[in-house]
Amino acid sequence: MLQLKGIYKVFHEGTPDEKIALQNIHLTLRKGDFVTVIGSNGAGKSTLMNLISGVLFPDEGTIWIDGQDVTMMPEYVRSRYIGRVFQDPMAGTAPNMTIEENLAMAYTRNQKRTLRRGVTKKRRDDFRELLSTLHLGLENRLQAKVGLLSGGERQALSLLRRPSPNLPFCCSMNIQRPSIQPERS
Amino acid sequence: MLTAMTGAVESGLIYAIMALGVYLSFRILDFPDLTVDGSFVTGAAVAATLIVNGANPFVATCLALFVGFVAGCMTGLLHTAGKVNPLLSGILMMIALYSINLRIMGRSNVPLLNQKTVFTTIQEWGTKIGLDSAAAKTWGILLSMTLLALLFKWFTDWFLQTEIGLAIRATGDNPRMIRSLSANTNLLIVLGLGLSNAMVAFSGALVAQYGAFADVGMGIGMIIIGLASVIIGEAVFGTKTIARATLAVIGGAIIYRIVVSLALRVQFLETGDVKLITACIVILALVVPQMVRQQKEKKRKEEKRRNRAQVMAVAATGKGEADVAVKRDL
Ligand SMILES: Nc1ncnc2c1ncn2[C@@H]1O[C@H](COP(=O)(O)OP(=O)(O)OP(=O)(O)O)[C@@H](O)[C@H]1O
Ligand SMILES: [Mg+2]
Repeated sequence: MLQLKGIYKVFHEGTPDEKIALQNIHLTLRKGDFVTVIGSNGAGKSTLMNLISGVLFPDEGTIWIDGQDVTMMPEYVRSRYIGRVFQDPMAGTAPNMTIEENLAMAYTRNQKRTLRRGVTKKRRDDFRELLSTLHLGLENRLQAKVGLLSGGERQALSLLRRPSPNLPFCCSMNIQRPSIQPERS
Repeated sequence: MLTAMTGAVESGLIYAIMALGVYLSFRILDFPDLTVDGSFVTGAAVAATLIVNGANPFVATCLALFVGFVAGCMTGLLHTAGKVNPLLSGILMMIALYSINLRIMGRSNVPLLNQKTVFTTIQEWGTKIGLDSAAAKTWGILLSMTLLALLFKWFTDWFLQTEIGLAIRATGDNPRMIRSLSANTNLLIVLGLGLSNAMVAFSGALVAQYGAFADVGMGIGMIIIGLASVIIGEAVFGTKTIARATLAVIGGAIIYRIVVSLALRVQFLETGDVKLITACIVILALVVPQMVRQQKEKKRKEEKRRNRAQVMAVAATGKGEADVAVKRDL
């Protein structure tokens, strides 16, 4: 369960540039909930996502995941509980690493990373199977550098990085790029 | 001439370990780490001081590696915990190390003549199996340094394929993404810089024993030599995979040494000109491949244009009437 209680986020507080991005936000999401957040440009959607994932911290209010207060938990710790797809398709993958290496990093996201080989034979088979569900033919290009893929292929790849289903909470956010948002009248 | 060449290859192999360290920071972590100028000397200073005081040269060299690791971690901490810009944290550490190196050595130069070093020990082993002393020296050093450079290459290749290694590579490639996959990028940067400077200091310790002295000034411009090796190697051998890239770095370090030793044979140039030569090599290695690529691209485009023009011309003369006929049909 994800809970936001009384969240405030103000940028450049106390300066002429002051911008209240989020004001007294309360939100409760239960397991299995599917939520779409809609708002005009600059409404604060990305800010909300950044607060939940720990890229930003709220000025006021608390964030809870499964009853645990994660308000001040750093991003790299919190990301154990949160799956995330970035607005920018280039942001979710490492361009100079291969497809299988990118998947291997997602694979070890919830374990302690060790000095074991990242891409083992068994994992490679798993990746092949996982990739074939995308029907993009990526399963035959495991050793291709991700930077060579198209934006859509990269975005599809980053969708596979979800944490395993037995985790307490999974918040998958797919934010539309401004270029394909509906025209504003 | 031949001795000059083997000398160049020998020192190329020793400096290759330093270049691998630079490859780790510059290419893998994408961190322009200038600590190298200091940590190279730190390695030399630690090894030389220990050897003069009667320590086993192998132990001394390994301790240098460890001290280099600590120095690299300090730079990493300056950047991650102290939020100091990467270039600046390297420069700060380099300056600090200058004084520390002087403290370690106690004076600005420690000669190692007539001391038992790694290289005299290897030479001894060679003579024991029946080689004459000169051959034992050349072949012993060539063989052992080749093995050592390959060992470090193998270690780098292996490490960068492990789970931690992958996370370090991602830290240099897309830190935001790997943070979202629960990796502590700060820790990874500290670890990466530590390993990088460990290799640099190890190389420094060997260079001091090879040249039979350690000097506080021996690290000046070391980072550029490392970069030169990396860039030359990449240009000549390519970077398709990690294993290929690390081999390229070793090759680059050897080529660099050969070029310098050839350049110094020119009457007009003096030993003091080495740094200028190095700078010129790096500039050439950076600029020439770009120009070559542009030239190739231009040529290819021109050729395509010519081909297209030819095809058009053929079509015009051969099918002229047919086209007319078609038009008439319409
Ligand atoms: N780092 C920042 N510094 C200052 N102001 C910021 C910062 N981030 C966001 N803002 C401001 O906060 C407001 C909300 O921004 P946010 O990015 O959350 O909007 P959004 O709803 O995601 O918009 P879009 O639909 O365009 O993506 C905007 O007015 C923006 O200018
Ligand atoms: Mg947004």
